Amino acid sequence: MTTTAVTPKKSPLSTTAQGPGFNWRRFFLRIPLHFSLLLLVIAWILPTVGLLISSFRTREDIMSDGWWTVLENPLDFTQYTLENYDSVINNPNYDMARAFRNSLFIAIPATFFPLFFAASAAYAFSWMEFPGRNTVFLVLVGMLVVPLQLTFIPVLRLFNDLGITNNDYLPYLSIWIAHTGYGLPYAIYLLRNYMGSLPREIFESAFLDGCSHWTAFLRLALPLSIPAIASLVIFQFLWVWNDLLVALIYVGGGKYAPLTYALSGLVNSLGQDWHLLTAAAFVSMALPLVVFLALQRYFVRGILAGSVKG
Amino acid sequence: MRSQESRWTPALFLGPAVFLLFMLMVYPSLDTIRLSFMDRLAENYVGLDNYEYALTSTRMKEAFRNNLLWLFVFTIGTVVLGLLIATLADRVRYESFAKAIIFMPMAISFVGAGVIWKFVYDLKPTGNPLQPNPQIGVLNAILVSIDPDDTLGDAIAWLRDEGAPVERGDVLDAIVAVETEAIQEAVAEGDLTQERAGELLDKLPDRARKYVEGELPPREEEWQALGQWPRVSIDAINQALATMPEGSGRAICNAIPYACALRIERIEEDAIDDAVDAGTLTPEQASDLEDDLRSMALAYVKDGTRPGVEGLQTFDQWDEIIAGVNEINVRAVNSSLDTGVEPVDWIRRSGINNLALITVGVWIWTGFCMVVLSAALKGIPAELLEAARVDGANEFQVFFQVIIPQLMPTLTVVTTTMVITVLKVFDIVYVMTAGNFGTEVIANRMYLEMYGGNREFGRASAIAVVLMLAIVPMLVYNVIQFRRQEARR
Repeated sequence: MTTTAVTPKKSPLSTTAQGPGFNWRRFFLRIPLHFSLLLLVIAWILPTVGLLISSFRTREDIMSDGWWTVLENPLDFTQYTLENYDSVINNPNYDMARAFRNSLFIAIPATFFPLFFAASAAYAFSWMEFPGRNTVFLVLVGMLVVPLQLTFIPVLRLFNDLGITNNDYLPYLSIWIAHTGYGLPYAIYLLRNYMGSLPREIFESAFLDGCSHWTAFLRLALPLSIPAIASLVIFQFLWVWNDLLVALIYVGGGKYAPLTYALSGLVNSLGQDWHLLTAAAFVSMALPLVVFLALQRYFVRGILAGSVKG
Repeated sequence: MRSQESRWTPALFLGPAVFLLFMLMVYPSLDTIRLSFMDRLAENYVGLDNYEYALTSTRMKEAFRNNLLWLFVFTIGTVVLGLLIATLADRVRYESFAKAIIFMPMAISFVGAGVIWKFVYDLKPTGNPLQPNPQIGVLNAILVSIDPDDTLGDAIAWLRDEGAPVERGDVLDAIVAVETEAIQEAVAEGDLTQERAGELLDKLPDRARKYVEGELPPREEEWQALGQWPRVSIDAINQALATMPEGSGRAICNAIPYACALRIERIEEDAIDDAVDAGTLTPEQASDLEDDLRSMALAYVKDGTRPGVEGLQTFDQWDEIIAGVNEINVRAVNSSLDTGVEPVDWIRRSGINNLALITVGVWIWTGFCMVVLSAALKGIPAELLEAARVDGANEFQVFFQVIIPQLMPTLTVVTTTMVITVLKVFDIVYVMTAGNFGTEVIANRMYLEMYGGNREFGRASAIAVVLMLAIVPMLVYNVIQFRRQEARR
């Protein structure tokens, strides 16, 4: 194509730069764009910033003026205190330290169990031939849309009959099993999509060389699926860590309660004690936020791969 | 796929997953349907009783209504905002930063988000009209700052400008007098130590001065008559204002009841004394009446509560007294003390609280929609957009006539996901209101029936089945979509 008579009109929102030097006209035309985007970003971050700042302020300060007054002198460190964290973590009335440990004890196994079972199932769906393969797959993945509520009462009755609820030897067994089951449909769906798209030739030549399915699964499929597994680990970990409903049903209160349960209890018992509530909330959010900030890429990938979970 | 293993190998690979899913999802779902026809402990069949409850009880009707509101506002809110932010962020250099901020709430638990937003929605009682409490929740602080409150000090300055000089000293003296008396009373009753009272009295003049300038005393100080401080000062102002122009008594009393109540008290006390002199009241009756007079007068001025006692001498005139309050010109003080926009009880006020909860949901889930839509946006061929621009389309035409149609498949996926999410909404409501104040939703009702006291397993099961039935259309749609995707593989 040669030069056209009409020069393409540069739209104000177009990202293609126009020649060298700073384009003032483009800059001014784009101010509304920056303004609205930054406004949304600020609106989104503000509630969390307020929580974080308040968790470092004394009760009196929180009650006598808004947290934003801190921003007049953000570097004046005398106005901050760590006392709130000391209270919520160490005071046995709140004991977020124990809740934090409980959450870890719940979340780590509940992340890895479903992963392993889902990986082997996904392998079978991808690289094995057996009758009814697609039907079984559809039924399992169809469970994605079943609201967990539909399962609670029978599962709870079953667990009670088996004696694995309120069991002091294995207090988390019931919630591990529950989260493993509830996490499986999405994990299978995501891993099956990923494993199914691995190059067919690798597996065919492996089988020709006499490789067993078990070896192919452990030596080929699992290592090659690491990106999908990473997404899944983060996804399932955040899901379990942040879950309240399943914990309410299968763990209940008491000394085995995870962070979400402990925090929701404090919301009721502390009411207006914002200095403690904000610190407790941040204790519960700290780990998922670190995981999120460090591994956001995998989290996003996990969401894009499936985008149905709940 | 050939391999030397037996035909049972697939069963080995699939076994655990199939077993777990059967135990935790397939069998329970079917069993829940059975339980939904049984009584609360699953002993006898009760026909459709539970469904009658699940579909027609007041609480469930409220839940359906609220879920419907959630369905529209939440779904539209998340999808539209997600699309808007994805589109805007696509055009700036700090795209990944902006997207990370919007996406971050997805990493926070609903419980944590509940705490964050309860703090945003926090409401402090406004206190008295002269000395409103500071609002520490962002939203209410913004509301009341729209029209900032004047302080007592501002009122005094204004009155002075108007040619009705009020001596600051008079106000301070009045505060000190009433507080000193109250502190001495507290010492006499043993509520305060002599030593502590001395410390307080030392601080009093300074505190009163700061108070007039608009600064509240710190919470830990045990002032005994803090509630009366502004009243005393209005009284002082009123005395200095006997000659100001007219106004409406009832309106004044709505804003500043103290002065009106005080006037009633004074007139009534005189009448009671007269009655004692005339022998129609015993001194005991009179002193009983006078003890409660102020609170009775205040209640009447504030909301028309009629005193529940006999023997008042001027009660039939109280309305006249209030109407005559303009003579003492509280209006002058009132109009100078604009109390600004009233703060809102976001969590409890019906009509607003559901939207407040939905906002929390939108805050959390917009990031999800944004991420998915943003990825789809990047998949639109650049030539397509450039071609439209070359044809003279402006940015809005490009957006609505090129980008939106290209995004349509992704938009439907995102929308169905949001609909399924919103039907199951639970944590936000559970943490923030527990379904009170007219914010009930289906999933919370199901939990409450199951665990909230009565263990109504039958009803809870019926509600769960109803919830599932609401999701079925989405399930069917998703299976069709899935089939279509599989066909394309």
